[in-house]
Amino acid sequence: MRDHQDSPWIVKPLRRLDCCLVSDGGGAFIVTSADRAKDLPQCPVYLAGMGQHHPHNHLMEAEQITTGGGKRSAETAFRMAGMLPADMSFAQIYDCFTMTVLITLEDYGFCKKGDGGAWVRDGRIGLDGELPVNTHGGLLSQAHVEGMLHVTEAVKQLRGGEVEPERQVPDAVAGVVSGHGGIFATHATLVLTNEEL
Amino acid sequence: MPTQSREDTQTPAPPAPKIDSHTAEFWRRLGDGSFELQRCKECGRYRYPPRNHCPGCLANEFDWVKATGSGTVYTYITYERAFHPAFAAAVPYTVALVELDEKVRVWARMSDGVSDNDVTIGSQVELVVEQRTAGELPCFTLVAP
Repeated sequence: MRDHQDSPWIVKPLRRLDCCLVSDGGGAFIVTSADRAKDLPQCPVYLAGMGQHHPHNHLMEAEQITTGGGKRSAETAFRMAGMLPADMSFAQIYDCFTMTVLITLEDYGFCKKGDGGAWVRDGRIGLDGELPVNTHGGLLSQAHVEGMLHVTEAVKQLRGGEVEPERQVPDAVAGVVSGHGGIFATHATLVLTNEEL
Repeated sequence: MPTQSREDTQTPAPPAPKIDSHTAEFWRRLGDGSFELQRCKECGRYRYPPRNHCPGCLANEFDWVKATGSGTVYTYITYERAFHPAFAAAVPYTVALVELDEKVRVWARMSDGVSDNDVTIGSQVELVVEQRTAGELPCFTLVAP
């Protein structure tokens, strides 16, 4: 927290450490049928649910600005998967800014609207916490690759044995991934699991 | 009447608004000192930014209506760094998202004379058209409580 509080203001209320990195890079994943995946060398990760909601183009047109497209996007994804936020072993949340994570966690139903700040305290979203968030460091700490690495990290976590042991979530069975674009303009959600659907 | 700003004229020019066929008439009227909103002829809804059709009912027919200019601050931010060299001398400066009486929201800079510390959510403001380096732009001044 000391580093964060000492980092300079960029645009109040955001300090430098509230803002994501600027990076060049890439990631890729291949989507195929569960049937084909059975013959492939890696353990399959299943797409259990997906959702999207794109409430506006300009922020001037947003009905309100403390809830984004994540609420409806996540409701669709969780319903499709037949799972609840509490079933998630981890969450890879698009983190262009720190506040985006808080708003998304609230919108996804991990906590009540407005409680995001209090909810993430005391290590709750750390690797040993109740809900590990952004085990790879995300856009804020790892690199800004437009959210691609949020997807690949989720897959690696669910396969097990593919990330450094110190950041492997133990017994991971399901995870949620959020994507985001514009200024809360577009949102998408994936619910992934390593348990056969 | 557009008012003169105190922007530094030695630095690079700020980016100019991108004017296209959907927005040309809005900027022309603003150049005459009048900030005007499109009002849908079908459902009466005001819209901003300007565009061809109504976001509520999709009708194309509209009237230009001069905004009253009265509104309240919905939210605001204060730039502590210049994202373009033209704004280096202006930093720190506050930009507000204002809800006008017509129920549309407008992003605009607070006028030069406004102290950043005096802006808060709910502040009563008035839109003024100011002559800036890039041309006429809407800005907001605080209305005394």
